[in-house]
Amino acid sequence: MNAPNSSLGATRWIGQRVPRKEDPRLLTGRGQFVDDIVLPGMLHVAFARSPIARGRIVSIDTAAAREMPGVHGVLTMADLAARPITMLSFFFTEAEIPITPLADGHVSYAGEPVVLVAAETRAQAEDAASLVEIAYEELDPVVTIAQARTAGPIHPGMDSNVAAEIGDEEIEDELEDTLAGSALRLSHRIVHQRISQSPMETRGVLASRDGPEELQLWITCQSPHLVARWVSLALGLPDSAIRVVAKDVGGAFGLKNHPWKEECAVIVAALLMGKPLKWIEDRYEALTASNQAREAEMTLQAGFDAEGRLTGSHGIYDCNNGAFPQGADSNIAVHMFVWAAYKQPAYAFVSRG
Amino acid sequence: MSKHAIDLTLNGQRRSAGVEARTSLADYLRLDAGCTGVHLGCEHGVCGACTVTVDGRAVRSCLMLAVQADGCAVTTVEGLAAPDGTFHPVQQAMREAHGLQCGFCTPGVLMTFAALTGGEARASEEELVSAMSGHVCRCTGYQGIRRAARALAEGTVGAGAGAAE
Repeated sequence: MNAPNSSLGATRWIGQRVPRKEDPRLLTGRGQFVDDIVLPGMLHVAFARSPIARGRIVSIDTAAAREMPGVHGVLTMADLAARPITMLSFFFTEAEIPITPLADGHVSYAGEPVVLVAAETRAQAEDAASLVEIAYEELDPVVTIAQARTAGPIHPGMDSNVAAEIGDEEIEDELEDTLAGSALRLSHRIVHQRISQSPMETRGVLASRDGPEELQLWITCQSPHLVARWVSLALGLPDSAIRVVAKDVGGAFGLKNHPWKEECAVIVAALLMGKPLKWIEDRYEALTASNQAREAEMTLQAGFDAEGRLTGSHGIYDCNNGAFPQGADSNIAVHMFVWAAYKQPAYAFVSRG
Repeated sequence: MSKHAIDLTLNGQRRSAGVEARTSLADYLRLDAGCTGVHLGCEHGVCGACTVTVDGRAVRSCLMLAVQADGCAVTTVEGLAAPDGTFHPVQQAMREAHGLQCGFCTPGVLMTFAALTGGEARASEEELVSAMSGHVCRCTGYQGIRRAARALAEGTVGAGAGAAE
């Protein structure tokens, strides 16, 4: 009888401690994160951002920024429009509202990028960005879920601030009768604070147009293939035109699924300028302007019989996804967790994002 | 911007440079000296990822100006291992204890541990764990780093069942 050959197949790993092959480089400073990549002729990007949560852009004056030493480009959305990009949702669908890499006529959150500056050093880019003069006509900010319910739509042309809704806030008669007839009827409201992913390595991208259909990206991300597909669809280029490199990534937590405003602005500017552009988000930018995850309020009613068994429940769930969620989403998963976790004869809900 | 001449010893090598007055030690090390193992997580002195040693003491290189390092001996994570590649005990301890995942905060943690355990320094486990309050790690939940601290304090690095090779 042959003994199992322990040097072959999965038996090499099962029950064994497996040293990680990436540890030696990460422990000796030889990791390769986006900011560690340097290309010849590379320029550095900084953004002039909105200091207000909501307003109309009255004017943008970039004259002083253009005069600064080392500055190669000062671009607004009007400049980026020369190379159209269709920003897609996480589900690769077109957004319900126009989403542009830089603010186009109005701003909808504090920190929204308005002007892109490319210079020979990051310090020069920041110096120049600080000299961009943007005049705003301020509008009342819509920050909370309560404000979003009553305020006019923050995106012009939309009916309301609800991007996605599933279900019904009204409790149907049959469920209402069940709850009303239960030995115990409870209602509880849960408020969940905003989630900020805050990876140790902030967002960043280095974009290089190497030819008409050769775009190379070094980007901190969760899946290079997802980024490549997303960018090829967004730019209308074949898959084979995009190469994405992400050797080491300093955490993502859902933030880095695919490029968003700043990364798209850098990619488009790199295509237009024909020079490699690098943007590394600093922590101040990350805490101000990175997309954040759901902030949620839920009111759950539940009925119980005399033995404490659930008779039915109804959930009202609202989540605040900010002005530009990566796809309209009412986070229906929350209700799936409710009906999967407990045995209950009836459950109804409304979910809004 | 005014330029200032500095001379320092970096990872055992003498270096001369001209730096702007506003250039942080971290930016000088990353951009000029090529020490990209120095990671910038916050540039506010909070996260600890950029920690290096200056004359043997752990320093956040984002809060120190390059001109202040004139005449100093600076060691970064690139200078920890022996020339033949043998890990420094803090590197070995972190590897054995699975004290890292993404590796972004790791160079700073290593330099703090190196400063507190090198030469005559013999920090206790409590002192090493306390020093970790100056470092933010989002991956590990810190338990692997705590195990590395214990192994360093007890002198059991490379001796336990956790030895990886």
